[in-house]
Amino acid sequence: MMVEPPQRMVDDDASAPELRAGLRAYETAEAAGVDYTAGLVALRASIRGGGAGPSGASGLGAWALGGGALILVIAAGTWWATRPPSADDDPTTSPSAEVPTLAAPIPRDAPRSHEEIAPPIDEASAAVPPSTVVAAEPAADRSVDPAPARRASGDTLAIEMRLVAEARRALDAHPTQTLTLLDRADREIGHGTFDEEREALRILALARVERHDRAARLGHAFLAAHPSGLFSERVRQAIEPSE
Amino acid sequence: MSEEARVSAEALYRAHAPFVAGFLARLGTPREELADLVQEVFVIVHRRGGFVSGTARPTTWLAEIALRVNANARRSRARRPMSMGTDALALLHTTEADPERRALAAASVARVQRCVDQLDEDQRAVFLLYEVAGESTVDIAAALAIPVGTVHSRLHAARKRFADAWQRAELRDGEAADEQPGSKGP
Repeated sequence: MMVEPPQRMVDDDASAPELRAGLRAYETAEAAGVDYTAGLVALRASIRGGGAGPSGASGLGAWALGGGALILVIAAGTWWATRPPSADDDPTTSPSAEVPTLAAPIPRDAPRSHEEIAPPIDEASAAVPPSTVVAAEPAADRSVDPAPARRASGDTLAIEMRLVAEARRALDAHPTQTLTLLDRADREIGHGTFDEEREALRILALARVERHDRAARLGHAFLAAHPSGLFSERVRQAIEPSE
Repeated sequence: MSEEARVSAEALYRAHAPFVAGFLARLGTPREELADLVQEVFVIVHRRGGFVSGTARPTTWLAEIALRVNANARRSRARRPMSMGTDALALLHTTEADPERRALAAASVARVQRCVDQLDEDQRAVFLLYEVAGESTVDIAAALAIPVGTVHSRLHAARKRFADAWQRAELRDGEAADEQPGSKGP
């Protein structure tokens, strides 16, 4: 005899209201402490390096063994961690411990729709934007002399990563600071690897400072371009109240 | 099996990395390990040749890998000294824009997590997939390679233990509130 599955507790009127509310909050809670931007770059590098990845709970050693590509990614993360303190790092005011990492960004030139069947991994890797390639494999490609332009591109990526990380940290407590940092990224970087995350952050920050009209306008354009991207749900939620 | 039916690790990462991170966090992965374990899940996805459409839902398939990765990490963690407090909780509620509501939601999330932590490993996996991720018992059974009946029995036990833990947490939190300076006694 087939047993019917029970009603989910969150939908079950027999469950206490507080419990249901708690489960609803729990359902929508997001993991903190994951930088999906660096993760995507590291995954590509790991796959290009033969699929070597973190093999244990502390993956740094294994990553380093995985090749120069990952070393650079880790170096970028270390640079973030050891960068000069900014106003947002003040533990009494900084939201950094509570602000989540946004969902993964998608580089501008990469395939946008994750519903589509992705090409084999080598083809996907070939489509990595130039700046990401510089970040992912400077040591691996020893036959190519790293031209100044490519080094500059790597510098640009690092600056962009830092600005996006700071903008993300500021979002909860200092959304105007987020907007300032994003404007700075536009001025200094122009189009970059993390355009999608930058735009999503801008929309969330605009909603936080109650510039709902502009948030909604940008949000609709964003959702039209990325209907099912990793940022889409948060953008959708941010612009809902203004509609 | 046609190659066209495969979804690459990168495509899955784009679509489901937050799900995997959230699932691992709810399983109790400490915040400082979370990024590594998410990465490890998708490296395994790549080693397995990607996800084959039609065999299972991508999320339950990824959850099965995440469970294995988490179990390995936990064994590794048990071999070395480590302090883990509630500050290590890797989940935060962030969709609330209003600070006050966000704080309330964060407290609820923390309480639910404490109750989830009371479940044993098998119960926790089924509970999270069914009650939180909204997966069907059939999909969970397929992903975990166990009979549907076993999913039901684990779910039943998990729900009972969770509800008991919730009641205890409510009582404890209520008593703690009563003991706050300035609170009115009974």
